[in-house]
Amino acid sequence: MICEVYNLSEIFFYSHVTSSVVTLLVALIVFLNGRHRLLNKLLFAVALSFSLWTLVSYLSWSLVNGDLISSIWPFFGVLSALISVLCIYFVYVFVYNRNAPFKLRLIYLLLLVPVMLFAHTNLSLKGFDLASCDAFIYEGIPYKLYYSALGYLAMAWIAYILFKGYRNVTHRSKTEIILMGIGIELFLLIFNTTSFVSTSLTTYGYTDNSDLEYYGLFGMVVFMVFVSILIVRFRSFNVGMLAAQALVIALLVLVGSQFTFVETTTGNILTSITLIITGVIGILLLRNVKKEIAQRQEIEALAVKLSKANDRLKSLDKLKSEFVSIASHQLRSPLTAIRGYSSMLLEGSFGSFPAKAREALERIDDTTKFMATSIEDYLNVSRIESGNMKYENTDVNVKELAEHVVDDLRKMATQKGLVLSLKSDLNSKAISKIDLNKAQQVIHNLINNALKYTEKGSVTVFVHDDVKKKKIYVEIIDTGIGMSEETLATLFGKFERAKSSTVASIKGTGLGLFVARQMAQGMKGDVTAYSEGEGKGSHFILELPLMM
Amino acid sequence: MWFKENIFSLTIVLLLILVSAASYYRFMVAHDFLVLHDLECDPVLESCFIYCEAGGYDCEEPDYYYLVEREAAELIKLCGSELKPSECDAAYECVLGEEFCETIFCDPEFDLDKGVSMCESQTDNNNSVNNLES
Repeated sequence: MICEVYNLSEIFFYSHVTSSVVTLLVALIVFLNGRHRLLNKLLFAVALSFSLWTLVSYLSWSLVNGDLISSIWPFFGVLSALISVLCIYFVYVFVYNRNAPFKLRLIYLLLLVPVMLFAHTNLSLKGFDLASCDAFIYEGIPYKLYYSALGYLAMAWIAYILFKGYRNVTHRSKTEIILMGIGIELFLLIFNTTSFVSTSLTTYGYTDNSDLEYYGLFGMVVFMVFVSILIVRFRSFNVGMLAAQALVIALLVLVGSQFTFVETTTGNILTSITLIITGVIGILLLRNVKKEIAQRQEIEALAVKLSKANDRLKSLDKLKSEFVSIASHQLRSPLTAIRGYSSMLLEGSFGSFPAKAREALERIDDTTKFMATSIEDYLNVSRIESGNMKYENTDVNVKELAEHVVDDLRKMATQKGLVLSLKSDLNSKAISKIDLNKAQQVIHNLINNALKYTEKGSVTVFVHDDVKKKKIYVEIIDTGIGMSEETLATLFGKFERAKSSTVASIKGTGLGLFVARQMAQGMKGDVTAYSEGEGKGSHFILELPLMM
Repeated sequence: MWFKENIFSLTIVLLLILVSAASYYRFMVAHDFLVLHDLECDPVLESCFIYCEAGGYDCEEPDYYYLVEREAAELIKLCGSELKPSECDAAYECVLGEEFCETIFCDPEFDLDKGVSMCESQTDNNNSVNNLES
């Protein structure tokens, strides 16, 4: 049965070819880049169903054999319903990043079964109109209403899934959900509405021109543009460079397909120019994307390596702390004996010694004192890092404590020819709830450091408080060697010591300031340091909580 | 487990195969469906539908036609599958004993309801044309 040849409009070729090629291209790239991922498979299934729909549409408008057109006509309903249900399934997997539960998949199937089972019956199609070479007037209205309603049901269902996903975002960012929502809802709205409205108008005889249906196909192109954004911007489908290539090719196809309907020379020239410009921009885009992806992959690989190295370092650091702790404990016991006996020897408990022997004993005493301090620092670091540092906080008068430490170190200052003074400006009783011994150790360390690194001039200790902030401060200001910005940045790190030749001879472990700050922070305080530069003196501030 | 995981895709593929096979059999093999075709009509003798290539009322050379609705299998039996009905004399009228065949001439009232057709009939007091278009 042959019907009259139908003159197809130019938009027919443009809508069918362009939308199919763009859709299949994007979906195929996504599928080939992750053929084991359900999400990629479903996107491909949606695209394939849509392309089959356009193929059915293309054949039904271009063929003249009534039998053949009738035999493919039922697939309009079948594929429309399939697209709707697949879209719901696709969005579910997109949002939750897992397969839909078995019962839900059965519901999807149940929605489809009536359309599939009755597709070849009179409920779907009763006959064919050879006069107009279509079958609109023979379509079953309830059947058509059912599969058209499925499209709108899909829109509502998808909106619900996306809304729920947006409120409880776990696998996707909110922007991804919004982009997917806009893309797929626009597609379903344009596709279903134009298809339903156009064919209904033709069925009821209000028009014999169903060109409106063609414009509905561009809904899929809109959706694919959103999918492409998700691919390039968010890597939502685990696709990298290839997606960008597909996007550029799709753009070229879109522009190039204008040749199918442009008839004037000017139109052809403009299309050619547009095609060339799009091609050039596309190549630039691809280069940038390629570069960006390579950089991103390199950074990701480095981050993984860095993370592993960091774990290894942490483990080594722990081992080192344990080793230092054990070694320090074993060193401390014999050292205590050496210090005790040398002290007794110097005090004359074992009789008198010649002057040279006494000088040697004094050196032994000095060296063992430094060793004891160093071991105590190592043990403190070990305790801090293992979280075993204990603080026994009591009410301490900070001003009196600072005075006590200053008195202890005055002899050392005098020996070096330095002026060590203490000033105060207090609006409170200067009471702080802190560990007395540790606070004393911190203040001692800071003043001792100031004396060590000051060749001439003075060291001033200034105690003051801020009642509003409930803080008390012990500032140590010296006229010593000062510090560069570089030194200040690493000053409170472990084993950090000034590197200039001026201080090379000064004894120290490089742990004092690290321990001081950790202890201060352990007592809800802090230690900070300032300097205007090398040779311009230093300024350390110990901050402690003030009891009112 | 595999079946449970793939039940959706398996069922869809199976149903698509069934739909394709059933449609192919019904429309291509059994030709079990109705066909509506248009045939040349003489407005002097019958009430004819008018088709104007340019559309609208003012048509210098309108085409006059009437419709015949019948079983596709019967049409193929009469004309074969390669001919247009207008090229086949046997398609112009219902055959005696044909199970389902209906000849449809233009009915101004009926077509007014539908709102799309134009009729021309000798019976309209030589008014020659009833242009009924909404």
